[in-house]
Amino acid sequence: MKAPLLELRGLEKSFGDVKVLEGLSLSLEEGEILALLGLSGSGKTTALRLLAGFETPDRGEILLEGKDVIRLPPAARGFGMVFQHYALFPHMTIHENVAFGLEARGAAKELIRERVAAMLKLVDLAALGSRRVSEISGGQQQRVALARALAPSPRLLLLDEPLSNLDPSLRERTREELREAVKKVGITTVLVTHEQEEAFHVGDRVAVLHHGRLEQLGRPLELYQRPATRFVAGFVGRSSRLPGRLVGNFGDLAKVSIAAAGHQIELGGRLAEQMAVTLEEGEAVEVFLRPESLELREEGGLPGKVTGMRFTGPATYALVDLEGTLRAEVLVGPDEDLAGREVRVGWRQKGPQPAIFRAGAG
Amino acid sequence: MSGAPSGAAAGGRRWPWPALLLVFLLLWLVGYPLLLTFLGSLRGDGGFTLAHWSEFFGRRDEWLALWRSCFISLLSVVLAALLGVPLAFAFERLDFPGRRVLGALVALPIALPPLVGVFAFYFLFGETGFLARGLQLALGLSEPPWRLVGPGAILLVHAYSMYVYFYLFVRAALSRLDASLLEAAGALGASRARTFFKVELPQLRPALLGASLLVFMTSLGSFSAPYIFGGGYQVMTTRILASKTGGQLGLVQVEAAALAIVALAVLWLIRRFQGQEVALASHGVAPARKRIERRWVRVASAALGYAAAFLLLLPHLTLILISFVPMGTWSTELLPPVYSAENYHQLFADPQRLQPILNSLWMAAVAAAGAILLGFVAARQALRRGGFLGGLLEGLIALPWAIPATVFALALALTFSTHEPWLLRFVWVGTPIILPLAYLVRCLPITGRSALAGLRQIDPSLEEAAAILGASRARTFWKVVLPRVRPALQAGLGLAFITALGDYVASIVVYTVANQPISMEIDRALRHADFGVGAAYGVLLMVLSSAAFLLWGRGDA
Repeated sequence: MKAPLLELRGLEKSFGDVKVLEGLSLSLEEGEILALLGLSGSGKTTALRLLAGFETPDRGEILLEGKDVIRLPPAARGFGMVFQHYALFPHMTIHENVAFGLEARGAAKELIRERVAAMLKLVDLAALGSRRVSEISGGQQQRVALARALAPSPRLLLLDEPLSNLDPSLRERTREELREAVKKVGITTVLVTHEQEEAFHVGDRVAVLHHGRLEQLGRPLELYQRPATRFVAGFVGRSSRLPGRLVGNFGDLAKVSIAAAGHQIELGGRLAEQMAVTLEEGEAVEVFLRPESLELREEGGLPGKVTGMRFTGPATYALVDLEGTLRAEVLVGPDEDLAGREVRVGWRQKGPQPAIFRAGAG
Repeated sequence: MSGAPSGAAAGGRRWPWPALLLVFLLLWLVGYPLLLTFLGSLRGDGGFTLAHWSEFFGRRDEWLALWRSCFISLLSVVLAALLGVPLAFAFERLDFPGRRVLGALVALPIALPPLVGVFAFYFLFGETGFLARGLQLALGLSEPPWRLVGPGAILLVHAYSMYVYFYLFVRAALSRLDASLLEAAGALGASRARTFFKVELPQLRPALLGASLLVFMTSLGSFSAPYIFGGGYQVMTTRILASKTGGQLGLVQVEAAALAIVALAVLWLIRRFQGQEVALASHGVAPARKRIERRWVRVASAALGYAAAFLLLLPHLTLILISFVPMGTWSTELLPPVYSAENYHQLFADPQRLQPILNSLWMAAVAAAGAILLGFVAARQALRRGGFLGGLLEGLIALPWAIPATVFALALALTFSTHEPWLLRFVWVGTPIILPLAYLVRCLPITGRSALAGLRQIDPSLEEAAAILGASRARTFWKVVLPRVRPALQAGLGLAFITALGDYVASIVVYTVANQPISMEIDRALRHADFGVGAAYGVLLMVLSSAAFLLWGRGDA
C-alpha cells in the first residue's frame, strides 16, 4: 500500500467554549476524492479551513507527504480551493481570475497564457475568458472557480460545498462534470458537503462527521450497507427505525424479534461492531431497516395502515403506520397507490442487512 | 457552516504593534486635546480649582446658552423631519414626470458649505434680501418688513440645510423595504394605517433615528448660522468663541467641556434607544412606485415638484446672481441694476484675493488625503483586530464626529500652543500646521466611516481565495482589497475634501494670517459689505464642492 498523500492526526479545534472538532484523524491517497459529509455544525467546514490554513488547530497534525504543514500560511501550502460562494474577484475578468494564482507565484507570461487557456478548456469556458464575473451564469462561475483553483497545479484541491449555490436541476449535471474534471486532472481532493447524493456521487470515499467526531469513513456502498453507528444508519439513506429484542447473538450477525400490535416478526441482521461482544440475548435493541428490506404481504408480518405514498419516479414507497408511533417505509411496485389500505409489513431476506444497535445508548 | 470567522491570517497572535501605534497616534490627536481641555477647566493659578465650574453654574447666561443649543437642535430635528420625510416618500413612492432629476436636485443642499448657505440666505430672506426688498417696494414701507435674526433665522437655515439627511436616509430605507412585508400585512387583514404604523414605521426606525441623531449633533455644533444670524441670541458654540475672544481661558474650557458632555450624553442616549439594528431577514423587492394616472394630477404634482426644487435651489441662484454685482452699484433697487465679471476677475487677478483660494485648496487636499490614509489604516486594523483594541480604534475614529467642531478646534488650539515636547505638545498655533491638522481631525470620522463600510462589504473569502492561490499579503492588498474599497474610499475622500474646503468653525478658531482660508474671506466680505466678492468666493466653493461631490462623493459601491 502506498504512503498516504495527506494525513490528519487528532485534529482538535474549539471556538470559545464550543468544541467544533474532537480528534479528527483520517488519510487520503494520491488521486483520491474524499467527501466530508455532515449536518451544519458537524465540523466539516472547520476541518476544511484547518486544511487550507485559515484556522490553526488547537491540537493535532496535518501531514502532507509526511511533513507537518500547520505552521505554513495558506499561501505557502500550495493547495487549491473552490469556495462556497466561489469568491471570484468581481473586478477582474474570467481570464484574470484564472491567472491570479500563477501570477502570484511569478510564473512566466507565456506559461500563464497557456495554462489559463488549458484550464478554461478543461471546464469548457474557452470562449468566455474576457467576460467579467457578473456577466456569466452561476454554473459558469462555479466552473471558473474550479479552473482558478486548478491553474497553479496545486497538490491538494479543497471544495467547500461547491454545488450548493446551483439550481437543483443544474446541480446534478455539474456534479458529474466536476467529478470528471477532477479525475481527469488526477488531483487529490477533499470535498465538504451536507448533501448525501453529492458526497456519494463525487467522493471515492465518504467521511461522515457528527458533532465534531468522525462517525464512519468508507466507500459509499459500505456506509449504506454497513453503517457503523446509529447516526450513520439514520443519516445515510432512508430507513425505518423499529424497537426489538435480541433473540440470538452470533458474533457479527444476530437474530432479533420485533413486535407490534400483538404480532411479531423475527429477522436476521448485522450487529454494529462495537456492540457485538457485549450485547446479550433478551436485551432491547433498535433495528434500522432499509425500505427495500421490507415488503407488503398478505399474511404474517406486522399489521398496519398505509398513510401515504412517496413517488420518486423509478421507485415508490408506502408509508405504513404500525402500532402507536411506529412507522415503516416500504419499497413497493412502481405504480401502486395503496393509500388508506390495511396491510402487513414483513422482512425481505434479500435486501440489505438490517443494522442492529443497543437500544437507548448514544 | 460551522465556526466563527477569525480573519484570513492564521497565527496572528503576535504583539499588535501596528494597532497599538495607531491607538497611540489617535489618542494623541483626538483624545489628548479633549482631556487637556477638561483638565484645564479644573485648573487655576494655584492648581486644582472648581472656580471656573462654579462660575459657569452661577451665571444664568451660560445656562441659557446651553439650553438654547439643545432647544434649537431639537426643533431643527423636528423641522428637518417635517420637510425631509414627506419628500422622501413622494420621490420613492410616487412616479411623476421628472422624478429622477428632481430627486437628485433635492439632495443638493448637502454640497453647500454651511457658511455659503448662510451667505445666500442673507441675500434671499435677510432684511436687504430679495424677498424683503420686494415687499418693501410693493407696500411702500420705509423700513424692511423684518430682520433675519434670532432663533427663527437659525432654524430656517438649519431646516433648509439638514432636511437632506432625513430625505436621503428615509429614501434609502424605503428603497430597501421589502414589499412582501406590506403585502403580507395586507393579506393578514391589516388596514393601510395599521400596516403603516405596525410594519412600515418600525422598519424605518433605524433611518429616522440615524437622521435625527445626525441633525441633532450637527445643530448642536452648528456655528455659522447662530454666529451670523443669532444677533443677541447666543448658543453655546458662539458663546465659546466670545469667551475665547474675551480671553476668559478658564471659562472657555468649562463651556467646551459642558457642550462636549451634552453631545456625548445625547449620543449615548440615542444609541441606547436605538438598540441593535434589526437585520432585515428578507431580501425582497421594494414596493412598486405608484404611477399617478390622472392627467391633471400628474401635471400638478410635477409642477409642485419643480416649484419645490426651485425653492430649494434659490439660495444657489441668489449666490450666483450676487457674485456678478460690482461693489457699490446696488442700493435700493429690487434687483441689482449692474452686472459684470469684475468680482471673478478680482479673485484671480489680485494676488491677495487669490491666496485664500490656494490656501484652502492645498489645506483641504492635504487634510483629506491625510484623513483618508489614517482613516483607512485605522479601519483595517480595527476590523482585523476586533476585540478591545479594534473597538477602541473604531471609537477614536468616530469621536471627533460626536464632539462639536468648535470644541474640537478649541481643544487643538489649547493643546498645541505651548512648547512641552516631553508632553507631546508643540507650538503649532500661529503656524500653517494647525489648520490642516484641525481639518484632518474633523474629517477623520467621514473617511473612517467610508473605509469601515467599504472594508465590511468585502467578502472575507476573497482574501482567503487570494491567500490560498499563493498571493502575498501585499499582493492581496493591492490586487484584491484596494480595488474593492476604492469606491468607498473615493466617496470618503470627496466628502472630506468638501468638508475641509468649506470649513468655517475650525478656521475661525485657529486660522492665521499666513494661511487664511476662503471661509475667512467670506466672513470678512460680509463684515465689510463687500458682497460681490464674497458671493464670488461662495460660488467658487460651491462649484468646487459640487465637482468633488460628483467626481468622488457619490461612490458607486
